[in-house]
Amino acid sequence: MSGYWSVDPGALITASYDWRDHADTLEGLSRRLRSADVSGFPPGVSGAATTFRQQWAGMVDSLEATSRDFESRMLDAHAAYVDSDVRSQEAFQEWLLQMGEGER
Amino acid sequence: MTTVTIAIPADAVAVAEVPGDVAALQGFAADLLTVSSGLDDLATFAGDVLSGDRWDGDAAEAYRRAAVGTADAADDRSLVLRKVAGQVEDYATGLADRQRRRTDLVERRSTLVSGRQDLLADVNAAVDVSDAEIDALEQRAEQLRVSIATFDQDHATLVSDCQTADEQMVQHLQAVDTAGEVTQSAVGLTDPADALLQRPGAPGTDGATVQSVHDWWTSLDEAQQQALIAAHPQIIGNTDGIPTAARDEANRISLALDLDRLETREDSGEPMSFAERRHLERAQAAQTALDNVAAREDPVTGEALDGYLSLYDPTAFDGDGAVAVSVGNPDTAQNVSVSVPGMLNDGASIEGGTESVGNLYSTARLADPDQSVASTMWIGYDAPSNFGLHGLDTLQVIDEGLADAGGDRLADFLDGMRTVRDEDAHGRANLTVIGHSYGSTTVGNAATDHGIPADDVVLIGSPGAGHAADHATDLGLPADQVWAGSASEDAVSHLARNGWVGTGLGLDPTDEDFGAQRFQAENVQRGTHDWIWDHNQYYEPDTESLYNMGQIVAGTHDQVLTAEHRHDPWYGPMQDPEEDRRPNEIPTGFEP
Amino acid sequence: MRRAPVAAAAMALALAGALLAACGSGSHVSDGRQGLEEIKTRADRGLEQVAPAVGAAIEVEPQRAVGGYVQAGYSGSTLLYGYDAQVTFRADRPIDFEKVRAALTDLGLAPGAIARLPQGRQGITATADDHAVVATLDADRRRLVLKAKTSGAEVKSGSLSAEERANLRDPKPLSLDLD
Repeated sequence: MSGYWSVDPGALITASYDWRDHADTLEGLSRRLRSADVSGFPPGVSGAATTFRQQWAGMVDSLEATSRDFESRMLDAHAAYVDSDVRSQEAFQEWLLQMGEGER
Repeated sequence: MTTVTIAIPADAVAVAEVPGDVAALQGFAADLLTVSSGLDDLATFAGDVLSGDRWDGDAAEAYRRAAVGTADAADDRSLVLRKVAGQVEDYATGLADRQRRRTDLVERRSTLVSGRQDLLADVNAAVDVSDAEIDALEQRAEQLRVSIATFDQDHATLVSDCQTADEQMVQHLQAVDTAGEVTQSAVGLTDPADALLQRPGAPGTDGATVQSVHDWWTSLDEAQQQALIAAHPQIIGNTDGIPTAARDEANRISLALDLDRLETREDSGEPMSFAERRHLERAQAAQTALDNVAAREDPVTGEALDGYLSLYDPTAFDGDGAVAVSVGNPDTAQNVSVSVPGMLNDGASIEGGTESVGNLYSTARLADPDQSVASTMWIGYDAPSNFGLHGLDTLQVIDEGLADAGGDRLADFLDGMRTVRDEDAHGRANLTVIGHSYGSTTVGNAATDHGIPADDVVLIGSPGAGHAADHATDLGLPADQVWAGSASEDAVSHLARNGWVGTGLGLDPTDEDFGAQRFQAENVQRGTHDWIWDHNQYYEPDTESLYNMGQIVAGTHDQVLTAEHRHDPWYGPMQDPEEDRRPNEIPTGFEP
Repeated sequence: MRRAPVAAAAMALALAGALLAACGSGSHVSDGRQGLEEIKTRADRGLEQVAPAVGAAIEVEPQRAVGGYVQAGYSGSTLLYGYDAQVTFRADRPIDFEKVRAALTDLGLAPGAIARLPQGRQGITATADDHAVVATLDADRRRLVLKAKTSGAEVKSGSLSAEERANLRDPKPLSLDLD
């Protein structure tokens, strides 16, 4: 661990949306592949083409799932940073309150 | 009597089928290239997730490493799929060739069969014939034997070629149909696209011009061009100097990716932003326009028409969008037109705009059935439209700022059309540029400020021919190649500066002082509907205006129905003789 | 001749008005699908009015009455639709086109003069309150097409499916009383 870090939490939200955009595209592309027309191949090739189409749809699906993971993990990371900030803020505010009572 | 035996060879073998559908295979290859392009986008994004420098530290580094793994997987799959798309395309090209060869063989066999029957009949009929006649029959039999042997050999070669091609295609598909095979197969594959874009003259490089882009593009081999189309469809699709077919292929990929993303979002029921909704609306309008072209038929041949998406940038101009669709290929057609629309038009207008140029295409084809036609609707500038993201930009209509900028873009687009054309193969195009409404001001400014390579210019429903056109010849053409059409009740056309008053968009091109040729453009329904309709019906089937524009585009100028000019004296209001003429319905000869 | 607007300011306002009118409703026809129905009703009614009179004048029975929509133009993302109701008269001797014009005059439609059209055709145009009437005679003067034309329906682009659009433009037989 380097111990140094900095973050603009908004960047994490933006990144999450970007991953969602890619995931949506991949979901659409998977649908496109599954319905792609392989009827142009002659009988001797169509079997391999059908298998190819299904297998590739699956490969696209797996990248879509990964992208959805990134989407939600970026949201989680954003929430964790914000949560940490809020908890620190609350702790200081509570302390401030206690200090005020002591003075009285 | 002596009996002579003449050996007649057996019939040529029946020609085997060559099954397969080339168009369907090209569609399949296009789908694969679209998926490859989407994966390439993911790889580019995931490979550079921290480029903005807004997150730093160990957590950010862990994120980056995870994303790079995804980028590598996406990149491998993109490159492999691009390769397979090329293999399918090659297979389709080979199939088309094999199917042509089969057609030839069927014809040859038919000739051989009838030749054999004739010989058989002649031999059977040969009684009391001379030696010379017997020799002739034997020679014919020998020639037939040689021809059938050659045919059988060619047929065997075709069958063998089909088998080889099919086996090879199966091998290609099976070699990369698991994730492990894809990773292995991607070793050593590199994407040349980014490096190609750095070459001198390429789009975006210093000093790049329409000509340099064209020179750069034609210096690339087919695989390099395909790589660029898949990796950078937005650049290839929207850069002047790239041939229309390549622009179309690239833009269809961009369009498909937009639809896949935004329709998935819409189907999910999740809220969409205003910008996303506008983006989707423009993508769907472009797709509908292309579908509508494909559903049209050429009025002369009855064949389905080809549409080309030669511009597609739905986020241009603050989300108004830029788009162009051609009916027919402008790089190869003899009579080519480019229509520039005016006020209220943006990317969402392309459905109606394409219908209009489809009507123009059909009318021009019928005007001269021996000449091919391509008609383009070009919405490539920021026309004053309804509500842009920054407010009501129709208020800008009163000045020429958007027309000036639009003229610049239009001049580049037209230069690109001329530059990419192979004139040795297709001849010089007869190019007509048509501006409607504020689009006529844009065309005027393009012509006076930049010069446009048009053979004819048509200004319809014009609120003014632009700031620098005092006379038709200022557009850079002889006056008899500048045409103007305005319906007498088209109120927008009354806004042009005539004798002593105007809105600043230039002179009325239908005015006698302007010197253009005015053509009839009245509508038979004049006076029966909302007056704005007279401004929007110039492309309607069976109208004077569509008929006349069709003649101009086709170059059949002697068929154009001319009209008396408007006159706007300094001492009084504008006078329009067309107001006193009863409009006619002019059959344009096709079912819309 | 009609007088053109005379002040720049007035014209600028007219332009703004035009723009707003174009993206809003037409002055005479309802928006959307209802407008499509309305223009069909007007044209069908118009054809019912003129076809019997013209048929009687030229002593020819109407043969085929059909109606179909035509995409007349567009404004922004709004598609503008018109509708044509038409009937065909086929005669075995040349039709006297003046009789057609006279019949339209008798109906109070104030037709224009007979116009010479390309390909040897002749045409007459007349205008009623909410529709136009067009008669076109072929070059051989044996085939007359009589149309009642309306327009004014505005439909948002994308609001009609491809099937609906194709169905609209597909001419359909009309069951009108034209005798």
